[in-house]
Amino acid sequence: MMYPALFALIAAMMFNQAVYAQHLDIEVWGEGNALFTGYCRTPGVVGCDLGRLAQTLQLPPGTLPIEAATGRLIFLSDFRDFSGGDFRTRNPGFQSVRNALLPNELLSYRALGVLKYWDPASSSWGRPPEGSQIRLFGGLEASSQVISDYAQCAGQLFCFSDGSFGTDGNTVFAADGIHGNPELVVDITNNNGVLHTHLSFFLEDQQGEIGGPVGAYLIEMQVISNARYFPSEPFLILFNAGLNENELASALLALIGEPTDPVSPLPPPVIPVSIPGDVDLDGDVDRIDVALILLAVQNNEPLRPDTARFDVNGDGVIDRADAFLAKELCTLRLCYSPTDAPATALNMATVYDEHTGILSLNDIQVNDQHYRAQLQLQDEAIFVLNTVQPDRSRYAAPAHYHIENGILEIPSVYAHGKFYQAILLNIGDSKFRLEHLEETDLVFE
Amino acid sequence: MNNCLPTLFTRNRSNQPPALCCKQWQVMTGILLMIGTFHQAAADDKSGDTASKVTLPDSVEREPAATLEPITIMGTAPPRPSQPNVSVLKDRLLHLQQSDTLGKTLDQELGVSNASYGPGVGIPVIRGLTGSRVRMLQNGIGSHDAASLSPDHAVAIEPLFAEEINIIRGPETVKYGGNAIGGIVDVKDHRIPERTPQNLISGSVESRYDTNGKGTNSAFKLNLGKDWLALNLGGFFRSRGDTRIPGKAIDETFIAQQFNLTEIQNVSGKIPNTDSKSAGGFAGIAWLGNSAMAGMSVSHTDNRYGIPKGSHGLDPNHLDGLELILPQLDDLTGFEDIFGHQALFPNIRLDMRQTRYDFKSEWYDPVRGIERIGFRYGLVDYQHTELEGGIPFTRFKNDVGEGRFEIDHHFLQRLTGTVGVQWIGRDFAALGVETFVPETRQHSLGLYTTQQYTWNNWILSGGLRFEQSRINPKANQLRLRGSALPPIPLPDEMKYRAVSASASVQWNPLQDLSLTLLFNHSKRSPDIQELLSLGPHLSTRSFDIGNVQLINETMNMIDLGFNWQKERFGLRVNGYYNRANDFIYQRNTGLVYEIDNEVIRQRCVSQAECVSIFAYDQRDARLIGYEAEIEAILYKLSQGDVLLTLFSDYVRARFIQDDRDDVPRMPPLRYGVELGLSHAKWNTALRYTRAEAQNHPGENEVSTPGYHLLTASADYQMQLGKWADLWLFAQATNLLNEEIRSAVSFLRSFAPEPGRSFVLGLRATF
Repeated sequence: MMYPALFALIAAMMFNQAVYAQHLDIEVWGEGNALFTGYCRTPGVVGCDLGRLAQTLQLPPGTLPIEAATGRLIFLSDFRDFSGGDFRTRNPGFQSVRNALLPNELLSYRALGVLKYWDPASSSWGRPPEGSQIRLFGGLEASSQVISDYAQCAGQLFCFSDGSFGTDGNTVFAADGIHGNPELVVDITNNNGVLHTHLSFFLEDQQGEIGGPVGAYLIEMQVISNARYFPSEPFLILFNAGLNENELASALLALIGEPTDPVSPLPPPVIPVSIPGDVDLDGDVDRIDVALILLAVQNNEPLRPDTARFDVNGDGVIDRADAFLAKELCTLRLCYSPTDAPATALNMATVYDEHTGILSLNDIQVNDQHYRAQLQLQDEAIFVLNTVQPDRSRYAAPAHYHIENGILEIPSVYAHGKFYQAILLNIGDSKFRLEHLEETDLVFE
Repeated sequence: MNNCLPTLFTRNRSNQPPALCCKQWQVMTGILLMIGTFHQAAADDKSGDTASKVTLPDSVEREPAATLEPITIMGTAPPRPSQPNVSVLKDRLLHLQQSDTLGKTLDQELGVSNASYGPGVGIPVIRGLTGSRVRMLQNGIGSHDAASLSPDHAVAIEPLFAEEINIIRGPETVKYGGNAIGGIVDVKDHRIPERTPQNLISGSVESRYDTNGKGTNSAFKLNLGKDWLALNLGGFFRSRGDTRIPGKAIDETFIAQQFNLTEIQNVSGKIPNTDSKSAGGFAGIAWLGNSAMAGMSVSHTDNRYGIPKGSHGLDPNHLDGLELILPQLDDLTGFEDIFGHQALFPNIRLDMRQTRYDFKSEWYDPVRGIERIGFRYGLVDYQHTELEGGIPFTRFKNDVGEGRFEIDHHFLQRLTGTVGVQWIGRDFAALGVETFVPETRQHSLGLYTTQQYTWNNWILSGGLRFEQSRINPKANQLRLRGSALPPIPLPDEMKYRAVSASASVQWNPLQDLSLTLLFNHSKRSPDIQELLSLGPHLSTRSFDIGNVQLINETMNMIDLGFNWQKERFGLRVNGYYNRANDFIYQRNTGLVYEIDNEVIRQRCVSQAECVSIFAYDQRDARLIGYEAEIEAILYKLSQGDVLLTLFSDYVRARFIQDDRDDVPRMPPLRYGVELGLSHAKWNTALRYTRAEAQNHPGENEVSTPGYHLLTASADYQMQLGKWADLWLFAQATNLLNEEIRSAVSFLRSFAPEPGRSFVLGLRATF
């Protein structure tokens, strides 16, 4: 579980408080076999005041930061926003609210395009100064180079590639394209499909020395999932490296252009399953939720559909009683006694999303080969194979497919917050019939 | 029953028939009666270690001319030459140096340093080695705490009860297993009675006050008993506030260099959250027969102490986002428990409890050639809970049984020795948030012998040990919480066999001069955390990765010692070379682990929120060092003797292969002088220690500056009537109020050693 540091920034923007850097986290969600990214897809999620965002960024009213030429969303970050020094930042982060992704869904980024630079002197986008580049450090734990067999790691419990840790764990966005590893892990979702994490971006020269000329830098990427076939649409991240607000607005406007068409509609909203007190929709009730309710009370926020979550006790008013109740409901460390998050779903090879009807088989063993596949529920007990692709062994308890009799044995599938043992039979025409389903506790056996 | 052998355990030195035996006794009885009184008096003045008991038969087969009462003769063994590589701290010096922790108590001993983690933790470092390489014993049985697992875990031995502390590095170490590869610290508190008190009741009461942190220590011991039954009771209570220091707790230069942080929460004048409270007690009972004894003790210790704030949570600008919301809130009434300072910057505290059951039985001279058969068993129920902001987050448990059965022989006049077997069964568990080591079961069995052969002015000593151990993780795979790292399978069992040997030759060309050459070849099998760690370990700011294919670590040490003790002059010098093959260490992988995001990366933006990833590995290393001490009585005055002591110790440790970098956290060069005035009733001393800078801190460590440590002590002994002695003592430490950052401390950049302190105390014995 990651702590949502950026909700604070977002909240500050929501409640019209000055902050010294503007950004929104990249919200990620899945629908069927595809991933999506965007701003404020979840109605009323804290901080999703796009009007305020446009105002802060000095954009014309009704304008979203979307590149005119490509229609790609632009996310913003600032190399001076957090402690740790200039020319480095953890923003923008990535987040998904409850049930926006599947449990145990592994999210990665894929770097695209070339690095662009806004020169404040010429007020134009172009190639970055010689040698300037942005290096991004992603997560390595789910990298294909991870070896979790100590026999191949000289006894070390895990290692990378050839037994060493000399793996290529970073991505370089340069003027001539992408170097290093173009795909690295963002993070894995928790049992509720919630994810909130931040990466590490550095502005540097080709020798790796931190620093770079004043200006704005633009990179491009998309996110991919181990449970979905289609990646997200590419999006852009604009980094401010020392520009003032006006200069930054100029750089942004140069990308956005004059608004000619109305803002393209956002994907249809999906109201997440609510946890009383979870006002930031990150799947738990923690101190941030309590603080946000107190802030809403202080700002006399009225009860609206998008602020209904703040009325935790349901008495029609957002008041301190809601904050007290949220404190009572708080379940996290340093709020109340810690609870060990059930680690089970983190290691589930198979998950079923009741909203989409997708059965994601993250690891199927067929003889000595491993595959990943997705099945879509068609009728009551009939699944249709959507995708299948070779993969490596990732899980302790993969599903087993027996070619000789067409039986797919799933030792444990996570669905509706429970675990089931399931057997499906290949009835031909890429269809599988559910033959047996039994709730089980033996998750790893 | 044969009248010549009136009790089961009466010793029979000859194989002659009982009748002849009895006649001999008749003759001998008269002689022994004459010397008996003298020996009784002499024995009462000697410690139990050097006394052996002889019981005479209480009757003969036929009615004797005169009826004799049974009498016990306490024969005093001739004084043994001082054992090389054994340091003994006892009596006045021990009581003067007794401190809150074992490490601090022994800090002034040559070759010993104190690995502190704030004042609540002090682990002895012997010649640069500590943790799994130095065994902490309590009356010969391990302390079995979690101190070897992590440097913030205290040793569960109460120094206040100690009556003698032995630091052993020679052949005797083979008795205690591979974890004694770097030496042994054996704290003897005689909680199982070994003799009955002279009077029905005796004991001691002690109390001391430390101005630094307003620390109070109080302890009592009662020895009760008569004839064959003895009972020992003891209890202690200790409390102290935050430790006072001369400057700031956190080395801000270090923080700026390491973490790029310039705004941190720092405190001057004291180290917050270093208060502690500890209480405990024991009860021991023993049956003391003429030729045998059996006893047991129960003890319980409760130690609650705080850990100085480490680098995690240093940055006030990182509160998971709360730092930006809270300043906007005008009214936090009713929410102080989650938004108050303690909730935002929670203290880490440890609540440690240990209950021990010790059993001991000895049988003296059961048959000819056998001097003693001994059995010891300790059952230790240890646990500590780590609390953050008052809420438990990790609990460590260690349930251990350690036993030892040994036979001391003197088959030949010149050959003495011990043969024994030792076994340990351990169940370890860490439950909660910071569970970087899985639940594990460990068993070890060792067969050992130590022998000593004396010939003219030569003493040859040797030790040999065969040890087999196995480690069984209870989980078949490990998972990293919140991480996408695939499950990591574990082996069912790891087995180790080790043969350790030790030999020394001591030559005494003069009665007061000895030269000793020691060779030690000892093996240590890897410890649980070295094999099975996986996860972030915040006290060491590391992410540890175990290695299940580690092999035994081997130390080959040559130690040359010179000891010359004249009436007014003493010289002791030891030089050693220690070649460590397959030295187990933590190799920096160059990767980092982001604590909040629970992600492994090559690099992260905020160093304060990341820890380096270390993998356990093996590499040859070399340790070279010496200890030297010269003592002299400069003047014999009517007011007392003027004593001068010069001392120094040093160890240099480097890895041998690759870039020959330094083994981290080694003590620096120390030297100093002590000037004392000693009288029968009082003593004073002024001691100056200079520790040079440690400029060989090891990879990813920072150098520590040198320091001057000035201490002074005085004590006075007086009689309170007929029944009690009163001993008053005072000790001043760090008189120069220097900022001391110990090179052997993990937390040296966050918590310096205590500033100036004055300890006043009294001890009454009756």
